[in-house]
Amino acid sequence: MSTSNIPKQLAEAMSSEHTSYTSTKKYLNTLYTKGKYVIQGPGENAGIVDLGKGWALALRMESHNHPSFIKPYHGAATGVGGILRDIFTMGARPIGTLDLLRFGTNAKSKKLFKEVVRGIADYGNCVGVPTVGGDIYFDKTYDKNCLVNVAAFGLIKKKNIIYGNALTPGSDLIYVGGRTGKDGIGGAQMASSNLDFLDERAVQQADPYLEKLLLEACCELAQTNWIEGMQDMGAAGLLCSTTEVALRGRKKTNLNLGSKVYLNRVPTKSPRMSPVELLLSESQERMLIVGKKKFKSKILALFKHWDLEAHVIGNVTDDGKYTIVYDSPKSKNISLEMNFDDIVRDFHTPWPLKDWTVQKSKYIDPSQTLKKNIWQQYDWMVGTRTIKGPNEPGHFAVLDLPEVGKQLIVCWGSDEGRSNLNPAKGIEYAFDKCYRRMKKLKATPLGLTNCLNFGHPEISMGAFVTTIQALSNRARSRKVPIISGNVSLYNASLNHSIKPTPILVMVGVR
Amino acid sequence: MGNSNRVLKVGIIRFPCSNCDFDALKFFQRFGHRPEFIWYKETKLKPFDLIVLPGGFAFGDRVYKKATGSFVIDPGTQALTSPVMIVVKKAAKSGVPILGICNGFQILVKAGLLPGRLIQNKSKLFFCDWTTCRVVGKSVFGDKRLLNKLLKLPVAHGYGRYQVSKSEYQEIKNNSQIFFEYVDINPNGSYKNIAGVSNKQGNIFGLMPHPERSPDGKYFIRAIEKYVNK
Repeated sequence: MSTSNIPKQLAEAMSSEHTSYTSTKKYLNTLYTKGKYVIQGPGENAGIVDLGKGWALALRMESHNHPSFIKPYHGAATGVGGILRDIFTMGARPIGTLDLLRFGTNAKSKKLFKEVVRGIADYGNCVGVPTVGGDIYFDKTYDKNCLVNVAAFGLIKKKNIIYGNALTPGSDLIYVGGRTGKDGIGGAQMASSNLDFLDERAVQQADPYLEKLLLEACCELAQTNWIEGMQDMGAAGLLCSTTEVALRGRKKTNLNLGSKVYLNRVPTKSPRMSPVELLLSESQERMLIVGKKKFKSKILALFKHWDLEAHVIGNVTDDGKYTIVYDSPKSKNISLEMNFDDIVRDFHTPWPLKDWTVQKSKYIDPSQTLKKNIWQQYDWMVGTRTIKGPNEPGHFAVLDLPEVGKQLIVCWGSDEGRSNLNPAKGIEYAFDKCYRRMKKLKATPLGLTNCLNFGHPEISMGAFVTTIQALSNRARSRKVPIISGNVSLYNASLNHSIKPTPILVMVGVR
Repeated sequence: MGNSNRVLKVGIIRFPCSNCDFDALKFFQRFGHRPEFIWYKETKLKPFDLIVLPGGFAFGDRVYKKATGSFVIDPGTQALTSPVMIVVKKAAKSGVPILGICNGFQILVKAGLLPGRLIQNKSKLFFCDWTTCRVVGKSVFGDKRLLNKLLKLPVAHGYGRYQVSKSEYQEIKNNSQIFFEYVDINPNGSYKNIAGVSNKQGNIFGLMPHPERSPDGKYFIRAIEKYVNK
């Protein structure tokens, strides 16, 4: 088997905007991310803030815009699945989600909208995490690019927080969950380009039942001392997760950690998958566990109890390399050793910062009846924490936190069309809306997460940078740190880009 | 007269994807009782004062075909072959009180422990919101104090449309087995607004609404305490 072009293919996948934020990183680094309640800021699977009394809250928001446009039911459902995994990867039990939707006004958009809502409902309801709120707006600007943003938050005891890292040479890399198939290959690249030449095969299948089993198993695992890290397999799947745990570990320990992955041990559902396909597949509901060697049998037994398939597929090494191996059958016997620098490369060229060109389409706030018809399809009460759900008006939810004797306030806000006229004013409006609500409810804001949806960087990067600066200034002056987030660029089709659409979710307690 | 403060031992059956399992646990804990989980593979039960089949999506509401691994959506059916169902049926026969909520109701109906069928909502959509229900017939576990009381309980289901044939309806009506009916809205198109039914003997109760999610759930707890202590 020829292996000479593998490193290049892997490097291309790893450098996609969706996986590594290549063109936005330098701006994101300027965000206000620290504060007295912050336990974990950006850079992990989710941000974490301190709730007091030994408890913490994990928070994250993500977009699943491109997949939802191509295959609305599964695209939206896997969006919910992905964000829930970001939360329970840290050991936290998800206690709520929000869905923030933007659709166009043409006939196709109406169809998309119905399927997206059905996808979100079927997934979230089955997993048993309440959808406690969200919003929906229509605008012609989204005709060729709908927006499906999902936020999730979860509860964790501070002492049980798990990070996405490897710490010790010799630890096991354990693969658990769904089998690897050809679905979702190229998903990360898809999310990092225009929607002009894409096909359905890049969108993954959703399996909420499997997700629920994974959730329970991971939450149980978080209460043990058997593991040293956990990472979900999202964008660029196995490759990204097995490199990320090593890279994060290298920073934390100063050890020359590496990863060795035996590709023949990866459970598959599609026949004849190539090394690159195995490494890049974005099949859903899969997790990577970095397990302490001596607890291997206990970890595997726990997964077996939950009817989950788990395999040791590799090890943490001390050679500083990323190595892929086939050790069986003999005919396939290969071993390819790569430096992390070979895979994690920067292909990026900076975009110009052009002024945003105002679009004329109308921003539409739909009727209460339409909204009611959506939220009634979501279980917004499971978990019995919902004090104020979508059944009462207002862009906020109140959840009971008997663990700390407080209430959790979750506020969400977006530019509501204002960023189109003035990107700075748009994000400030979104921030102020959340912040004022917190004050009105007499809550202490702890932190916020965001999803910044923009069009093609060629014409949107200027508006993006203005948005980031305005957000960071507001966050700093109000002392509400940004603890996690997501950037979605390339919400564009041919020459049309969507209006800048920043969405914020702020959490607080009272 | 029994001591009404006696702590009840409550067994909550946990299937894979039962997602109101913790809600049910917290519900009984809140009233000072001692609930614990029973995993679906259990084949022996210690004595319980009450067995609860909680809400959720046991086995993802799926029924798997062994040969192909493909599945169809049919809530409750896959649970029937679980080892724990043998002991649940045995307990049912010996008169142990059993409560099925939402998915638990679906399973009890599929198991033939309760009459009727639960099919997909008339709207074909999942529906979650508050409903008002009236206690009728045998009442909740035979607690006559609750008769005609209006309780506010939420529903959250996609397959809660209760169906019975005319003759079955006459039979369960004559036996006062219908104990709960929707009054303001009928959220799923159930026949005659039926929200909950019991078996003929009056020890097994199933309903689609969620008492564990509502302050009015206390009436269920009181009724169960009375029933167990009688």
